[in-house]
Amino acid sequence: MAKKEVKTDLWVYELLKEVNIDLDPQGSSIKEIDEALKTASKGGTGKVGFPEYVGVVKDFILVIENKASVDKHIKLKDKVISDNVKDIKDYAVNGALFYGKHLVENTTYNKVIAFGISGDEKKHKISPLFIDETKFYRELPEVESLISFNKDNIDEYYVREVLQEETDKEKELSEILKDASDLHEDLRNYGNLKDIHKPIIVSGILLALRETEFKNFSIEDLTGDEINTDGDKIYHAIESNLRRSKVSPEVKRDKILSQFGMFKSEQVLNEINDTLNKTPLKHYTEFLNKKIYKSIKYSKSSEDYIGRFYGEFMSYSGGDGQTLGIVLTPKHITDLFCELVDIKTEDIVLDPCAGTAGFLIAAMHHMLIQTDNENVKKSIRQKQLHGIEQRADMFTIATTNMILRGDGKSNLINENFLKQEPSKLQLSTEATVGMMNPPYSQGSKQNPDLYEISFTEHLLDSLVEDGRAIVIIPQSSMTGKTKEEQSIKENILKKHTLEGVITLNKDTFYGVGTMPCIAVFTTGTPHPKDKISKFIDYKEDGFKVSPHIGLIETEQAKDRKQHLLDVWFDRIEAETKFCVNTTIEAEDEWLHSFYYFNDEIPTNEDFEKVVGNYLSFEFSMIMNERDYLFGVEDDKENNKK
Amino acid sequence: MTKKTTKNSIVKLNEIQWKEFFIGGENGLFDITSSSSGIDKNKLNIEEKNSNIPYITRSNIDNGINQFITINQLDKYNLDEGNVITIGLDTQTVFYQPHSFYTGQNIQVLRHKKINKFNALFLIPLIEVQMEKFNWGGNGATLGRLFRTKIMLPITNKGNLDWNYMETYGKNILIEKQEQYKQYIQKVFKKLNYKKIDNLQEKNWKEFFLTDIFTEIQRGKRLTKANQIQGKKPYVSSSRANNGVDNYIENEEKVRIFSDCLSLANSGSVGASFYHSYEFVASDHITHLKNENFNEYIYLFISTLTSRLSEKYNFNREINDKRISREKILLPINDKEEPDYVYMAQYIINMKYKKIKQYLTFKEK
Repeated sequence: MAKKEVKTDLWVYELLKEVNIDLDPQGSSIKEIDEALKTASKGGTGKVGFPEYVGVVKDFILVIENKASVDKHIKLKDKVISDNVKDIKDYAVNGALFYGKHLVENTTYNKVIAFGISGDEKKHKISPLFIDETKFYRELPEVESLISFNKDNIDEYYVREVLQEETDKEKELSEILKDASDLHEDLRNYGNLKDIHKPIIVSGILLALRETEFKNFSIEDLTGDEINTDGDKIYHAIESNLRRSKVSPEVKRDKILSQFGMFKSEQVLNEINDTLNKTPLKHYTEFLNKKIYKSIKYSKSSEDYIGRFYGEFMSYSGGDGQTLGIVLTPKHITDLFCELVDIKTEDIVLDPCAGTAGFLIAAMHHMLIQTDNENVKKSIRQKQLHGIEQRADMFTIATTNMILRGDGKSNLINENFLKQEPSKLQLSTEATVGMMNPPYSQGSKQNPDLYEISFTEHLLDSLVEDGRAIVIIPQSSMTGKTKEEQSIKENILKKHTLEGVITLNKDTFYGVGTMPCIAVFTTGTPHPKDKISKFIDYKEDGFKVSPHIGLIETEQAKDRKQHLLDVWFDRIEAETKFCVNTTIEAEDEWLHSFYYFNDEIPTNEDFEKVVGNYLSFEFSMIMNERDYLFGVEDDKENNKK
Repeated sequence: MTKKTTKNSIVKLNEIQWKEFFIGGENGLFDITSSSSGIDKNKLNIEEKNSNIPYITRSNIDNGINQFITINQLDKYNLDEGNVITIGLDTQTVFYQPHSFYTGQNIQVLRHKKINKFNALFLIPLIEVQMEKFNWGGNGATLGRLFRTKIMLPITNKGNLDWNYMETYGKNILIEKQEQYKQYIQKVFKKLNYKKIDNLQEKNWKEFFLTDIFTEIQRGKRLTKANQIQGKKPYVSSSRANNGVDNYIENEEKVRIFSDCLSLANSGSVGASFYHSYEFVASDHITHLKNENFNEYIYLFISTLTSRLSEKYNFNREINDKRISREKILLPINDKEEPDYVYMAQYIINMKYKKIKQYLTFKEK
C-alpha cells in the first residue's frame, strides 16, 4: 500500500514538473503557509499536518492531497463532501478540501485551489476545488493535467471556471465576428458581391491599406472620380504593395493582379452609392481601416489581429467557407498539426492543398517563435514554406494572406498537386514536413486519384526520406470502404510508416457533415510488421458548438490537448479508452474504434442487469401465453407420457 | 393449457348482468382529473440516490413507468396518490398505479375509493375497449371526452355496480397466473446449484477474439414486415427492448432460424446482445454467435460483455462481418489461461439463484 502511495506521489510530481508548477512536498518553504500547516492535522487535533504538495502560483495557494487508489477519491455524505475525520484521512478530495479550508483561514491568501488526486498514471482522477476566504468552496470539473494552473494560465482559468465570466479572448472573438458579419452584409448590399468574391475584395483593400504607411495611398483620394476611379487607385496600391513585398516571379504577380482586376471592372463598386454618399469601395476601405488599422495601434500583435479577422471573415458566411467551395481548417487544428509533428526551425514544410494557407501560417508562427536569429527567420519565411493551390482565387487569397502575416516571398504556386511528379517535388522543395487538408468526397471508382487517401499517398511520396506527414481526412478514408482505397492503403504501408491516427471531435468542421481524423506518417520507410502505432480517441477535445458562433474553445481544451500530446509523445500511459497501442494490418480500419475494446473488468451490477432483464423477459413471456418458448408445454407432454 | 380450478367459484361473465355507466363527469363513476404533475423529461430533477418514485409517461411498456426519479422535483409539481388508474392522452394507455407517482405531460388519473389492485385488473381491459375510439393527433382521451364516454360493467341484483364480483374475478386471474409462473420458476430454481466462488475482481481476465470463442458467427436474413406471417416463432431484430424480439411469425422459407445462441444487433441499436434458448427467426440486422458447448448460463455471462460493443459502434458505424472478426472481449480465465467457462456458468447460476429466491420470498410474504 505504502509503495503504491509513493508511485502516486512521483506521478503527481511529474505532472507538476511538466507544466512548470513549483510546489513543495510535505510542508512549505513559504513561512506563512508552513506556520499554518503546523496546526493542520487532519484529525482536527490542532497538531501539525502536511498535504502531499503545497505552494503558491501568483496569488493562489495550490494544495494537493493524493491517494493511491481511485476508490479513495471522494466520499460523499448527503451529496456533499464529507467532513468526517475518518473520511478526511482516507479520501483525496475530502483531505484536499480540509487543507484548503485550513489554509484560507490561517493565511493572508484568499484564493485556494485544492486538488484531490487519486490513482496512477494510467487510471486516475484529478478534482480541483476552489475555496475563498469565506471558506465557501466550489467543485470544479475534473481535469487531466495541471496545465491550467501554471502562472500563464491560472488567471484565465479563474475567470472562466470560477467566476464563470467570458475572458478577453472570447470577447475579442465575438467582436471580430460582429465586424466580419457586418462587412459581409455591406459587401452584399452595396456591392452585389457573391461570397466567392468577397475575400478577394477584402484582401485587396488590406494590401492597399499597407501602402498608407508609405504615403502611397490615402483614403481621402477615394473621391469616386469617374476617370481615375477608386478601383484604379486601390489596384495601383495593391500592385505597389506586391512589389514592395517582393512577390516574385513576375508571372505570379501578374496572376494575382489579374484576380484583383475586379476592383477596376466592377462598376457598382466604383459608382457613388446614394445611401452611402460615396463609392462602396471607399466605404469598405473606411470600415477596414477603422476596425482593423485603428485596433492595431492598441494591439501588440497586429499581424495576428489582421490574420484573425481575416480568418474569421473567411469562415463567416455559410460556416467555414463552404460557399467558397472549400473547407477551412480551424486554427486549433493547424496549431495541433505543428505540435504533433514537433515542428523545428530547420524543417521545410509543404502544404499541397494550401487553400488559404492556414497550415503554412501556423507552421511559420511555430517555427519563428523558436528562434531569435534573424537569418534563420529570413530563411524560414523565404525558403522553408511551400504551398500548392490549384484554384486561382484561392491562390491569390493564400498569397495575400501570407503577405499580411509577414511573409513576402512565399513559395506558393498555382498548380494542380496531383499533376506534380512526387519525385520532382521531393527534389525541388526537399520538404521534411507535409501538412494537408485535401478536398473531400471527390473520389470515385472512375476517379480513384481524388480519394482523400490517394492525396495522402501523393503527399507521402513527395516528402524526403524520414519526413513527417500529417493530414486531416474523413474517418471513412481510414476504413478503406472501396477496393481502390483499400489497395492504396496497402501501397502506403509498403513505402511509409503509419505513426498513428487521432479521431477528432465530430464538430471540428462545424456545419459540414464530416467526421474527421488526423493521420500521421513517417515517410520513406516501409511500415515494419512489429511497429506499434497509436490510435487515439480525441472526440472530447474541449471544443463545443455555440449557437450562432460556431465551434468555441472551453476551459477544458488546454487540458485535453496537453493530455493528447503527453500520450502522443509517450510521456504518459493512457487508458485504452483514450489510446490503443497496437500493430496494424493494411486491411484494418486505422481508427481507435476499430482497435479499442473495453478492458475493464465488468462489475457485478453489469451482470445483475443482464440476468434481471432476462428473467423479466422470461416472466413477461410466460405471463403472455408464450411459455412454450421455455419448454413448458414440452414438459407437460413429457409428464403425460 | 387446461384451466386450473379457481379457488373461488364465480358466476361466468356471460351469466352476470351488465349495465352502462359514464366513466367520469357529473354522474360518472370515477373522479377524473389531469395528473398533479406534468414534468417534461428535460425538466426532471435526476439524482443518483433515492430514485424510487415512478415517473409515468404515455408509453405502453413497463406499466407506463419511464423511469424512477426522486421525490425532490420543482415545487409546482405535486405527487399523485397511488391506488388509481392512469390513462395516457393520445396513446390511450391504461394502467393501475399502486404507488404514488409523478407523470409526464397528459396523463389522466381515475380515482375511486373502492379501487384496489384486483378490481383494477378487471376494469382496465373494459376501459381499454372504450379507448379504442380515440386516437393520436387531436382525438385523444381528453377530460371532456372521457366525461362523455360510457363503459359496460357488471351489476348486482339490485342494479348497483358489483365491486365484489370485479374484485373476485381479478383476484382469481392474478392467482392463477402467479401460480403458473411460480410452478415454472420453482422447477428452474431446483436445478440451480448454488456454490460459493471467487468474486469478479479475484479472477484473472484475458482478452479473446470473438472468433476464438464462437464457432458459428452468421447474420440473419432480410425479411420485410410485409412478408412476415404472424405465428408463434419469435422474430429477433435490432431492438434493445423485449430481448430483441420484435414479432412472432411462422415463415419457414428464405429465413434463417437459430436457437440456443446469442444475438448481436449489427445496426439499429448496434451492440444490443441477448441470449435466446428457443428457436427464432433472425433478421439481417442481427448476427448470431454460437458455440455448441455453451449453455444458458455461459451465454448470459458473455452477453454482458458483447453488449459493451454498443459503446464503440453507433448509427454511423455499424458492426460488419469484418469488424466482428477483429472484436475482442475480456473473459475470466482458468489456470491454463483458457476462458473459465465453469466459473462463468456458476457465476450466473448464483445470480439467478439469488434473484429467483428474492422473487419467491417476496411472493410468500
